[in-house]
Amino acid sequence: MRLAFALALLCLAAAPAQDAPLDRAWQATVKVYGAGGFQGVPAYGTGVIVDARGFVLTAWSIALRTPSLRAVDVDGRSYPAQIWRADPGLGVALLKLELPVGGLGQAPIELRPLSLGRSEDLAAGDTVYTLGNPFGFVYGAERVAVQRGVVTTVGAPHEDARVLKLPEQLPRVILHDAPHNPGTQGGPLLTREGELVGICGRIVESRATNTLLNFAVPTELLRDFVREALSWREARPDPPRPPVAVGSSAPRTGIRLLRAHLVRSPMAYVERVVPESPAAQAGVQPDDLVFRLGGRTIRSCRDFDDALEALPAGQEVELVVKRGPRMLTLRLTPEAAQ
Amino acid sequence: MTRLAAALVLILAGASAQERDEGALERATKRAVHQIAPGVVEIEALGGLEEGFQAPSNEAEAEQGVLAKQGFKQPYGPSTGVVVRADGWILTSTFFLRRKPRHLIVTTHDGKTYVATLAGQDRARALCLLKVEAKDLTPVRWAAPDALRVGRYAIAVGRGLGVEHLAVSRGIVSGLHRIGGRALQTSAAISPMNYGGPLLSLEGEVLGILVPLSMQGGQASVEIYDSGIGFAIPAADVQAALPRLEQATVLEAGFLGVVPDPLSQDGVRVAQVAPGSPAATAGIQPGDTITAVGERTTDRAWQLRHTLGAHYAGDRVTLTVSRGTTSREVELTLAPPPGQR
Repeated sequence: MRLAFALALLCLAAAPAQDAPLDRAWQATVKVYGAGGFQGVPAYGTGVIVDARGFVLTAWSIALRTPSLRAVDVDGRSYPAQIWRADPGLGVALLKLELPVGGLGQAPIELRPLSLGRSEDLAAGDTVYTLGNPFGFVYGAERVAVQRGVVTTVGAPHEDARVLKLPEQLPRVILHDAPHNPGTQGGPLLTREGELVGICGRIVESRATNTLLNFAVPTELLRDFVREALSWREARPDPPRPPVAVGSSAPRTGIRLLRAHLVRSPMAYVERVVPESPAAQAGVQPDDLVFRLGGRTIRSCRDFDDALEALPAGQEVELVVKRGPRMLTLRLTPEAAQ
Repeated sequence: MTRLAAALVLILAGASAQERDEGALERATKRAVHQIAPGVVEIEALGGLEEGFQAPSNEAEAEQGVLAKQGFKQPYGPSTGVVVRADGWILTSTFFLRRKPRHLIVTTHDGKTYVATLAGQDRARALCLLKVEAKDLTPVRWAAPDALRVGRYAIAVGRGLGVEHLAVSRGIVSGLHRIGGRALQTSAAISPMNYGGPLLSLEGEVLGILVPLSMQGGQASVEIYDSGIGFAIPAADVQAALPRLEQATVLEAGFLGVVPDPLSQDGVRVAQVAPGSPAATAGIQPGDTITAVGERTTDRAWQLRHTLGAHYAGDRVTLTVSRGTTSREVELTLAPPPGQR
């Protein structure tokens, strides 16, 4: 009896106003107000406090580039903010809030940050929550909106760039099915336990599938970005320059495709195979239709060229061709270009 | 004992009933997806019409150019299919057929590729059956009809994302008997990514096949994507159509050719009859009342729509038609919809 009473007390003590895992994240989530409202870029977004000194992780957006950048915390306090570090390639920015200096008899503001969790173990079907400020309708101390969904997939968007192409250069993204609206970008993606596993990106449209997709940048890609920026003594708000593309260095295969001069790049039919070339050794024949090269699906001659660019010379790759009514898997070792 | 200890730990941790349920839901979702994976294939349709070209599916669409006006582009990405028999029969949606592709290539979950040929089509339900030369594919398990209940969880899976793993979204069964009684409605996110893929119960059984149907009739366009409105053909109807699809039959919706008076009760009053339609040929006239199709009484217009919705063009149906005080039985053959003959 006494035990039951103690247990009941424990339960009461543990019961928060909100579900505990979400409550912690709520405390750390801020509303971000930049400049914008033009060209479909919303001026409002969401961010996560990741360091008690006032560092906020959010989605990169040109709307952040304004001297009037502000963030509003869970208690409705509004802080001027500046970009501390930006990386459009990662799709994120770290903001620094200007915390008021506590005067006499004034308690200093204690921010309650959320630390970056492990995104590595996420898989399709995992329950996820997003916190955000949809359409900017959450004001002051009002708490941001929670949406629930499941992880659709965790994958590499550039594996087949024509299927899912993001302007960011991300080796891995989390796709999920929680409702996403303008203003959700920059907000936290949380597990059921309230662990921060991603920062919500914009809505992206897949040209190949005509689908609107919600993505989040996994925290595994953000640890170094945050750690490094926190060690800086001053802001470096200019984003790094994107790498300059160098000339073609595609390895040679000895495959000559049938290239008609049409508006659209035609399917990758083999017209000719160079004798004694890697393709000849692999057993490629004229009239084969190239379907996959090194794991990429080839829908056109252009896809073939792109896939070839990405192949390291001297390494055996899988080449899948359609020959008449059959599919054949061949092993091809491209040679270095001369 | 361990269960008791686990329960105690949960209580001590302050876990609410919802937190425990959420965990169970998550595990069930992942189990269902894991179980179905071998039965879900990726389909690439190569060649055919230009990217972004919108092929009209019938004369009415060609005239109106409805979808073209909406800026809807025909996607060219991969699609999803479901193994229905171990000997190489694969069911999918007709979505990619509008591009009139020259090659269909199926990739199974183990990475093997097969050349597929088109067998039958069910144009009323936007389904088609493909055949590949294989003997040992893993067919999906169909859910029993009583598993299909409004409000139950439904998981949509697809392979159309071009990534290694299945793409998953979850919602519920939102409604039954939609679109002329042919489709169920779900709130799971549906898009070309999972068209042709299965809608699963939490038990990992197939409730239906996801299809690009829309409430306006015709093919779904971009405005309803991700809006929480998706459609699937119920498992029982899919299974019923399979034998005919294996015979390479092209099934069309059954067209009768009457415009019912929407205010009809105690029998469907015919407001108009399309000239040359099966109804006109059978002598049905405006003012007649259709009181039954076969054994099923049709008191109201929607009942007539649902009853006919289950039929295909070429099906013979018997209508009970009354004119004034006399009632007679009219036997006729349903035609394909105008513009598809």
